[in-house]
Amino acid sequence: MSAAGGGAAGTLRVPGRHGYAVEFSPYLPGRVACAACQHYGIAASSLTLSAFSSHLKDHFLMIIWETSGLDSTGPGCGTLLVLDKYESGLRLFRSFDWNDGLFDVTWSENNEHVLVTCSGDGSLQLWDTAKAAGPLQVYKEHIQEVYSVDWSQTRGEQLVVSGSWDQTVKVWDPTVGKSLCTFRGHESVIYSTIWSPHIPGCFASASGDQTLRIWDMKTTGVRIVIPAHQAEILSCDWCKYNENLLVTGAVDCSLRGWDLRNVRQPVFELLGHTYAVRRVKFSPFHVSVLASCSYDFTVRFWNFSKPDPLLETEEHHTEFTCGLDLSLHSPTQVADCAWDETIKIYDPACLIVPP
Amino acid sequence: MERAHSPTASASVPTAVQSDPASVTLTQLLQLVQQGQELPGLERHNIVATQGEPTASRLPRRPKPWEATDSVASRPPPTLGKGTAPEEPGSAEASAAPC
Repeated sequence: MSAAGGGAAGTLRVPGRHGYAVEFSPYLPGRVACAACQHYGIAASSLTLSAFSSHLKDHFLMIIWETSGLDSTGPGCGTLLVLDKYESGLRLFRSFDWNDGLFDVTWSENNEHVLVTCSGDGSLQLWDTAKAAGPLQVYKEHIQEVYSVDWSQTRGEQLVVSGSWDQTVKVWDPTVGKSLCTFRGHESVIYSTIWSPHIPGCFASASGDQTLRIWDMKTTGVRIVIPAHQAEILSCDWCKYNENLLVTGAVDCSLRGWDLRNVRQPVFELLGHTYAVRRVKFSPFHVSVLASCSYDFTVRFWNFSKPDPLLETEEHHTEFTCGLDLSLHSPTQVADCAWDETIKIYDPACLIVPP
Repeated sequence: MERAHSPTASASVPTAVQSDPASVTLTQLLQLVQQGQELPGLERHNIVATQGEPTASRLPRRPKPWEATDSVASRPPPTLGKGTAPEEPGSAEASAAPC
């Protein structure tokens, strides 16, 4: 494939599918996986609707939730989309359906064909992009929606972490049919679980209980509890160039940086989004750059070390922008997906000129 | 902080552009749900695992961008604890080498 960085923005339209998460392949430049739901994921889970209401504080959605007849309509399906960026645009490589909405996706770190998704029915799915049918395996232990899944990037550690609305985190060895351990402590739904890129066996989780928590496989317990916002926290990520630095994104529209050596105060706060921050990712290439997407439809790029940290605001979506990732191959390439039924891969100007 | 923006009317509820016949806007969908109507085109599957083995990998793991300047393999991995990183966050820009 000729996929690589540079070139014009590419858009793939996926009628009837609403994107929740995108992730670049760690192996193939320009290859992206997208976890998506039919009917915005709302039919996938009646509970999801209550989350939107709480994220948006919107009376309209709340009314719908309270009177919803979703039980009679049953779940909508989910779709895993695998696409490639070419000079001529984006092309769908593979598409796999699942019985329930798919909320997150992560690529294997030891096999270029393999990915793991998670879904509204409480299960994780293992897929093989070289095969037309799937999934190869289904892991069902969570008892509610699984909203996040992440494959460890630490060398020699092939573990997957999942976060669920059942308030538990589970760690899996994908070659084993059962989870290795379950972590309890969060007092509300878990939206985000991410492995430390530096510290083996260490991961972070973000929850509706307004805390960011740091966990250690070796002690099977929570190491640090950070009351990071006075609002639900929808996303967190680790800095790739400072093993003690994390960022959180919350329903209060803010992003906050946290130094694990002193968690009393955030080390930075980034303001500008006008609705809940849905996802945040540190740059794999730029030491102090991160990107965030939001229910305000925008994707924003930030340099937290600058007095004026907002680098750029991308306004190319017309609905909630839920999925976001930065390429591991190109320092400038970004992918995102939104509920306007599009997936985009592009090179924002602020990354083309070194920030 | 104060919420920067709070919708005050249903008119401010974000809706998708209607550009495909198969598409239902979020507002339309919520109305259908509220009315207890069948959602258009709702797909029901009964997919089960194939229990197959993954296709063999042929590509080596690529170093991560942050590993390129980091001799991770030549030093013991960091452990979670206080004071393991001398670098202050925010001044990290001064060097591409982590900690």
